[in-house]
Amino acid sequence: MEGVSLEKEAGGAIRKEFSLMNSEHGFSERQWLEFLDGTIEPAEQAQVLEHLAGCADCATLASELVVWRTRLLEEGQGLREAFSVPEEAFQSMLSSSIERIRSAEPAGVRSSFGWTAAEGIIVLRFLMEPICGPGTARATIELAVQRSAGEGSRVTGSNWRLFVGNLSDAAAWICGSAFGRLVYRAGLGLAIEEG
Amino acid sequence: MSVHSHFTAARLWGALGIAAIAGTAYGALLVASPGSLTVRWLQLSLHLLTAFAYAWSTPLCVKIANDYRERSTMRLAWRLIAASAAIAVIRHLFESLAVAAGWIDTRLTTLVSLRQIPIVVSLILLTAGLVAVWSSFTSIGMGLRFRRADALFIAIILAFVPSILSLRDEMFDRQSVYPIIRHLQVASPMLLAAPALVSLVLHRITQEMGGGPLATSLRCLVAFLVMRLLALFLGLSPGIPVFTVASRTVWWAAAWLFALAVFHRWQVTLAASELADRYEADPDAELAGVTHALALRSAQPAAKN
Amino acid sequence: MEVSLPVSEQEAIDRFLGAPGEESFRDLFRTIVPRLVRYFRTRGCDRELAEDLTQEVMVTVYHQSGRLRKKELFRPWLFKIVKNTLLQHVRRTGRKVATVALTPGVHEPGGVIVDPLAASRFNEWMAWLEPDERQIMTLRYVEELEYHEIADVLEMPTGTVQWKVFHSKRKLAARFGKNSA
Repeated sequence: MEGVSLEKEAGGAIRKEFSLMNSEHGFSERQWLEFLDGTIEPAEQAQVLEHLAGCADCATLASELVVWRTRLLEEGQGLREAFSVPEEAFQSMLSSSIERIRSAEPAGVRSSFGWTAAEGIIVLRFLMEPICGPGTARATIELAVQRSAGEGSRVTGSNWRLFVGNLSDAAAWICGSAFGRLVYRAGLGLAIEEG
Repeated sequence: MSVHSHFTAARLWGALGIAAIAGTAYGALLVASPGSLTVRWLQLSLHLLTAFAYAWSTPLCVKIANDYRERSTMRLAWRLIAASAAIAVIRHLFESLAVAAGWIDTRLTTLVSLRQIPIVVSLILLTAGLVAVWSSFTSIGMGLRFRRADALFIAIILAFVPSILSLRDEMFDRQSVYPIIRHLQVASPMLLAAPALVSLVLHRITQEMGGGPLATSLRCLVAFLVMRLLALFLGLSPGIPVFTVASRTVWWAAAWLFALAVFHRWQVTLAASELADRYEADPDAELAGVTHALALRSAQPAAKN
Repeated sequence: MEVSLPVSEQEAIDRFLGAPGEESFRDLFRTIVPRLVRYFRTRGCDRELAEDLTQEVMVTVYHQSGRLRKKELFRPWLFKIVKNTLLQHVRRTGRKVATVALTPGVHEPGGVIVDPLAASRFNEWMAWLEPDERQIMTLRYVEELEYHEIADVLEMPTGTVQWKVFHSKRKLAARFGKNSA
């Protein structure tokens, strides 16, 4: 296509030149690529089609590439449907993966699937106390529990993320955003059992 | 940040010690030979050293403020404290100039007396900042519980005010030619008592906290506020040389307590940032470390918290 | 085992990232494992190896999901893990994994050719492309990743990805023509 040359630069990157693209063909590189991809806006599509009607070279290339796009999409679809996983193999993989997750923890650490919310709170409190003091840690946790679970209720796996968010906010309110970020990352890192 | 990275708590305590010794020497010489050149040099040095303490603290206060979210009360608090420290720098530099230029001999009741303006502004900003700190803690339910003994402390602090006011003729700028300065001078004991009252609340908060660098920071701040009030009272007590010396010792050392308070609070941000970065890099390893340490602590019930 | 109501891939991702528990992990596993197995198979891994590597990827996804800041970046993040897992396997075993099996057909036990690649022209087309172009085309047309997602996975500009797709199609058109079977 005139005005387009492809050069290989050091490291394998391809660099293109569109010296004639805008001026001679009347549309941009972005429009051309989107047209070939089938994602172009209708108004811009009309602009490209208008050019193609009068430029045989571009029309030929566009026609070929549109055909190839269709073929590639069809073949891709076929491959996706062909590579199904039998249920037996799926269950085997799932069991093995869960087993690997459970056995991957270093000594002294509970299973990633095994944290209760109460245990998670203990861990977070242990993390917070050296920085903000036991009293501040207790006060922020109590406030976060109240906001997340309501009066008389408790934090569970289902509202854990909300609790961590509220605790992070309270921690940041007193000790700064860095501390809030620490609490948030540590809290989300704990996989809490649902329910 | 490079100038702050060279300072540790030990070095700040060392600076406090130097200021206390220099202040003691200054006080002793003030009693023995008030107009001597050595006294002037010591006074100049102490003003510059104090200005440095506040100047070192000011940018850290700003950084601490920036660690808080927009529109948070603590952000406002630390900005007010930073502004107070900045004004204190101006005040001490001005007084250094006054000493160096000899204005304290020739223009004491005019130009030099204008120092009351930065003194009062700094105290107002500091009080406002401390009230904002208290307000932040109350939002999580801390700083709301007091003891009966607190009433006694409040009474003692408030008792300082009339005691100091009764000695107002001894105040440095009482003879200023500017009426506004004379009024500000009279108001300064109350402006010193106000943050001292807030310091009582902060002291209760540190007890509720239980420990940690944040509590240490507040304790240094409480000590800074109480010591300044004490220094003012001792300094105005007439005819008691020991009080004069003691007041100078306490007064000049107090600024470094402020620096220590800021330093310990900044350590909170540094420690939290470092830990947060480590958690983002490898949360599993960090959580494993925490839970392992927790397990060890659980196995040793007698271990100290 | 009872099969729960099928959830969409995005729902499974959202649930897992919101609350990474065993239940949400199972749903995520069910929705994305076929994609992972397919990735490894189209890169020349036999079924057993593809399943092993898939398990490795899912264990990594579980442990590192807390680091993912935005849910929208899950797919490119997943494929980075997939890509790195394959690279690590190659380094570990010193074995060259052909990105495309040039010889169609893999004989399963019993001598029956059941490899889907054998019946696919995609394999044949990809053989005429450079490795990076092959990777991009597979991510685009088999894995259905968007250009910016491919750019994120391969750590190159989005514009470069678009142009490589364009260039690859031109190559295929030049080699196989418009009407090739």
